[in-house]
Amino acid sequence: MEYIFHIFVIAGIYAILSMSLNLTVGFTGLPVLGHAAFFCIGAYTSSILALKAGLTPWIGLMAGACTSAVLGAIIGYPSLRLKGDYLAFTTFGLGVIVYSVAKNWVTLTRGPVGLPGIPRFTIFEKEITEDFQNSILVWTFVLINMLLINRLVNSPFGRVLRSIREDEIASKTLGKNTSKYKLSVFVISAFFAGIAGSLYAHYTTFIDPSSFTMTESITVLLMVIFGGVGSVSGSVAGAVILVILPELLRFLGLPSSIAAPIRQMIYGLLLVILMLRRPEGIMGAYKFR
Amino acid sequence: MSAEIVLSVNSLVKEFSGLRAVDNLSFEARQGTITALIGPNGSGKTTVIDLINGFLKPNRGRIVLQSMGRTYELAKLPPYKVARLGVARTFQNTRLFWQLTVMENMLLATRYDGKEGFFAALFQLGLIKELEKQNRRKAEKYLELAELTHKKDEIAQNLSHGQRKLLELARALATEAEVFLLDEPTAGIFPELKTKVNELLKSLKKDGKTILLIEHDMGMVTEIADNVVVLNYGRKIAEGTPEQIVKNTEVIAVYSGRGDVTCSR
Repeated sequence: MEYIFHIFVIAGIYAILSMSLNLTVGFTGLPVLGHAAFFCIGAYTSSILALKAGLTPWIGLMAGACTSAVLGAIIGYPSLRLKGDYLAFTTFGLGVIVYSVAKNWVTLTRGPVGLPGIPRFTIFEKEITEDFQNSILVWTFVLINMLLINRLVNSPFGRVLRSIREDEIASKTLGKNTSKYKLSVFVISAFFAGIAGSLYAHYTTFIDPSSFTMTESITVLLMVIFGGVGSVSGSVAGAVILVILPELLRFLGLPSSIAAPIRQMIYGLLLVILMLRRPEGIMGAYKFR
Repeated sequence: MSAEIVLSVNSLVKEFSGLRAVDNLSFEARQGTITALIGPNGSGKTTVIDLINGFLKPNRGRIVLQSMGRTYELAKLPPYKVARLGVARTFQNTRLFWQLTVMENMLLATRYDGKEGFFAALFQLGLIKELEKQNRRKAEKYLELAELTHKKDEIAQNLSHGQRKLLELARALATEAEVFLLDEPTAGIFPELKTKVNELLKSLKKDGKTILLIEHDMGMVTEIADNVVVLNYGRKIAEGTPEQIVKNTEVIAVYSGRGDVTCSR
């Protein structure tokens, strides 16, 4: 039972990540390949504040989200001048930089050794230790994020984001300051990813740079595409399915040296099938471009 | 021709790595008139519109807009600011939001006055609902003018070529701009729709709007234009009423070597 709730927690964290990535990639059409960077910043900020300053994880959560949002603004600003592949490479670079910093700034992050003993979330001074309680905590966040992001994308604000994805030049012609919109969506997306990072750190109680690699960014991107670009519930579904599916492999009793590569192959195969059969994703309405 | 000058272009020069696309061009567009910009392919007509609209910056020259009693220098402004001053445009190759519905395309053109932001989306729900209702009504009005009401929930991609052109025009109208820059609004659409577009432009003119029109169809130009500016290699070779232009020998010389003037592209 604990195992099932653990999977739920992980799926919830990925759901927040893929929803936040969907804002940039799916709704605004900005190719972002380094989403794990924001996840990483959220996790490390929150953990370091808890370990070194003794702050409660709740403050760490907000601080992590805000630091990540600031990074979103810093990377978003120069990205305004970049389009398509160039933006993809820039955000890829961001992912690599943040990963290297986490790995090499040993005095702060302890580098590859990682940060153990991160405190768990507390409610009324009671530590949330059970996986069951944690899954409720995480899924509360998933629901809140879903509501917020849904409200955003269904507003006139969201409509402008979609117009940028469809044709930025036409959007400018209608008087939209598209740079401002792109910058704000970068910040919002980073903010939510930071929340996911903090939730992750205080759940696993141990983080090291290996959780925030390029593969992580790609996995989240896959969840967005799988669920459907421009669909909030699709992102949640994509995350849940892509977390649970490889877990089923465990029941086949394969040795882990085979199971891990098979997991990657399944992702690849699923993506190929999806692109051929349903390019807009399982719940999406738009084609990914 | 005593109406107020709304848009004036003065000694405009645009060079693309040595090529002079627009060469010392000056003309004026007056309120409530249609100014047609004609000329062979590659004569710089679209470049002129790109310059006015802010997508290109001129090397020299001024573009002055009179809007609500104030004077603006457009050459210094980014496209979205030009648009906010009341300058709408359409494109030669239609630029719609392809995967959005016809209605969404229209709503994006209507005014939200700062309520399209992130904070409004989260905290000003009531206000947004009210605006949305008003704008929807406005959008429906313009869709009806373009006879696209029955298509309002259709994805823009699913429209026919002619309907796309009409939607782009309707979307420009929904901005309720004062100046319209129209780049071949009737290119490649069939005659009945052309008449429709003609009527729309005439009614705009009656409402006191200023139109700058790129058009190859001389029949249409003579029918609706008040003033014609002829470009060749970026230079103005003639300007006058349509009657004067069709008799102008230089214009005839430029066109006679280049085949049928009325072809759409």
